[in-house]
Amino acid sequence: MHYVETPWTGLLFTGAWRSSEWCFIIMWCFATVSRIAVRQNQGRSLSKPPLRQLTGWLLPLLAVVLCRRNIPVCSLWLFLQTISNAKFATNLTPSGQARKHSVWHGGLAASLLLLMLCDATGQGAKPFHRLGWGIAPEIDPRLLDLEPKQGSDEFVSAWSADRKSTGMVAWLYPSIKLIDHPQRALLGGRTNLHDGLIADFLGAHRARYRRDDGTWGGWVNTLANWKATIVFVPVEMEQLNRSLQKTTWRPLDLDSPTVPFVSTEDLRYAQVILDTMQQERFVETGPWAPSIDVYDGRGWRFDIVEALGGPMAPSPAILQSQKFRSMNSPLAALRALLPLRHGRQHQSLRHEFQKCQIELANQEWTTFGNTTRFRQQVVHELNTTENVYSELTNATSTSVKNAETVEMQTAVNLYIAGDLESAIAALPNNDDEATYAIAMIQLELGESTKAKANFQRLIDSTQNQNLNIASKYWGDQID
Amino acid sequence: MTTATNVLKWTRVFAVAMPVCALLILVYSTWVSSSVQNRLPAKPLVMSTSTRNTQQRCQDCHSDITDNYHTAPHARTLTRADTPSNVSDFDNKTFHNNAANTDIHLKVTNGHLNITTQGYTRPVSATWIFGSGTHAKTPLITWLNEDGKTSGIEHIVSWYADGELGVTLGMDEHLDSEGIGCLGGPRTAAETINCFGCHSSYVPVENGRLVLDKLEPNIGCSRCHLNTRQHVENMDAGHASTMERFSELTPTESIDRCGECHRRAEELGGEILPEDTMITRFASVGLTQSKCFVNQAEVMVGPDTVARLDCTNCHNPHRPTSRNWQDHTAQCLKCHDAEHDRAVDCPTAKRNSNCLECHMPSVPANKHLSFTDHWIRVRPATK
Repeated sequence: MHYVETPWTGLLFTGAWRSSEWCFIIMWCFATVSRIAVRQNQGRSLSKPPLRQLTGWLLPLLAVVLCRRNIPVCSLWLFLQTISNAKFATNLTPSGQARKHSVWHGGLAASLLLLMLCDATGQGAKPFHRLGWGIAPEIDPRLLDLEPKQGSDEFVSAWSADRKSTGMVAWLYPSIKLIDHPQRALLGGRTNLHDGLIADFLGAHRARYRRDDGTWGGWVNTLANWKATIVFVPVEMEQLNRSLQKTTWRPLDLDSPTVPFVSTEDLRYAQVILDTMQQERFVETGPWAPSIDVYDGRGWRFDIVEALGGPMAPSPAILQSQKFRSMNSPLAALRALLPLRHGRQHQSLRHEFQKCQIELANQEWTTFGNTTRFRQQVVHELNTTENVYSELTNATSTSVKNAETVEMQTAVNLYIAGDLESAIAALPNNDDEATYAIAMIQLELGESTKAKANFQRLIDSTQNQNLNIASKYWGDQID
Repeated sequence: MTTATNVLKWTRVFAVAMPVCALLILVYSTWVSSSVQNRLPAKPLVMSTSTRNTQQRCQDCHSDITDNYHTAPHARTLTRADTPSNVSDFDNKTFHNNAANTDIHLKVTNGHLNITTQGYTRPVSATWIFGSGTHAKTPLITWLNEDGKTSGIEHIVSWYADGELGVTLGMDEHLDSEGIGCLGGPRTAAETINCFGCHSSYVPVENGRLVLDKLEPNIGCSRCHLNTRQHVENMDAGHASTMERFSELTPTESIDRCGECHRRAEELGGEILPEDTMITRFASVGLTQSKCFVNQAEVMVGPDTVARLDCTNCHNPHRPTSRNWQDHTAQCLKCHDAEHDRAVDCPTAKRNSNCLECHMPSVPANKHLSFTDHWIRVRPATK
């Protein structure tokens, strides 16, 4: 799989169109019609438009064709153009027709404004994006908390996997010397080296090996030659985060949009590594119940859509959940999503929730031997077989059908809707699978002590081998 | 008037040029977009077909080597679970892991080694057995993970050359009696592919999934001899051979080549200490720590010939290793010959003694397995 830091997002041949692309094309067509109407009113020929008008007409379309990220600013351009056309057309026409044109253009402009506002709230968009104020969580450097360790005369050397991380590190830590980063690699003709290092991490190629283009791979040697002591990886590069978790490199920050990794062989960071590992354990199985405010680097939040009664922006929680999943902590990921899982949930949040459930189900299948009934039913209810082991999928349909009870079904529905307390109340006390489900939901709520008690009950009494193994596993994780 | 005419002329030029430029930019952006997505990074040689030839093609010219290659351990590094040898070693056996107090039952059925234990709820299976059996053989349990990639578990039970089943080397501290840990050491998808990579000549991978029916197990010519395709093309065209020769590599480069699978010192992580008993497992690591290796450039074995020490002094990778100590001590004596002003003789033993007993003894790795310590030195216990 070839890694491209920022995939080219032109309008054509680069993936399906979402609502914003369709809206833009509709807007452009409206703007074109509006422009033609104005020229007709002016009595001008349509076949010879002036250069500036041609430019004004084509430029927004060209900008969006080249890159979809230009949609917001080009939409604004078209909106202002339409407003201008409406005013101009009204001035030109006889008074009787003016009202008709005014209504027509005004209605068009209002529709476009409404479309833009709807898109700005992010409710229809997937992935989620919302017009907001301040720094987006994906690039908020205030969440990066690192104390580079170095002697008085030395620099700390670091390698960065993407430009966002490069920018954050360069802004915050002048004492860190960035050995290489994508932009420098591009300018220096070293993109193969950069991509190769990422491929080596992803491929677990620690030792030097020969590639088919004659070059040598292997990340140990590459980083050693550069004397890189820190590696920065953005949260979005999930596979790279997962791969690094399996190496001797450990993360030093759990909530930063770019994750600093250091080697366990660097004793200067030994205490920080230990502290972070304790934090990892805490967020996975400790008494941790986050609120939405923990995700903001400012320490306070302002969201105009939320202030007007709309739902909260799920991006910070989704980003945190992604981070925890890449650390193989799907339960911590679920905890991170929980503050937003009430009422109407954005489809991006539901999608992330689905991924967490799939990971937990697969984790149970791999670690214990079988998935528990509760988790099977949640996955089944979410109606997804994507990324679930085929054997698990086959087993799920049969066993869910055979073992489904009204109480479990009710509990699953309440759980998926975000009402965990009610889900616990709906589950019976006299069924081992239900007891396990209660314990897992309590763990997700941060009620570790209650969860441990239920796991212990199962260890002491259940005849179900799978539940016994699962309960011991989780019981050992809880301090 | 002239100015107005010029303006009109340039306006018309731009009016035509702009849409043309826009169209060109559109076509270019579409092309860049598709080409960037399709560019693939270089692959490890073991996963690539672009530079290698088949074993049969090598045999056409090098039958003196290939005819007897099947006797070499490198030719038996990876076998299917249902070969007669593996059936004999694993089928219908039960191993009791004392440390974890678990029983593991092994049975070969339908081409797979099926593994069941009370510590794991469902049975698992291993299709491939890793290792030639010279020291040990270890099953690798494989399955497709949630991403459709091949993941594995290095099984906790191995067969050893003494004919017994035992805990796999390095897993003596695995005390899990339940869950995946009781089966062995889980391996990610990438690690599983790399396991096959050191035990195979060609590992076909599609989107992280091993295409096992196209796998070429065991170490063939192309695994170590790079660019065999170019070599064959040169030979067929009557050109000189450009094949890389191990003898033309420096000793460090030569050992590094073996070390890609047998490990290299700088890639082990951490400091290498003389008392570390695990080093004996990695012969190439030990050898590079030896004074014999480090100081070899200071020894002249002929008027213009500098001493050379690498793995191939004692090991022919195309043949089984000789078990006759005299074959190996003869290599020692090529350099250690004070009479001819080479390296010093041993002060305590005669030249016809077995150097290996003191300087390269066999060291137990576990109760079933011993490795020759390739860190050539006098070990504290033998002083």
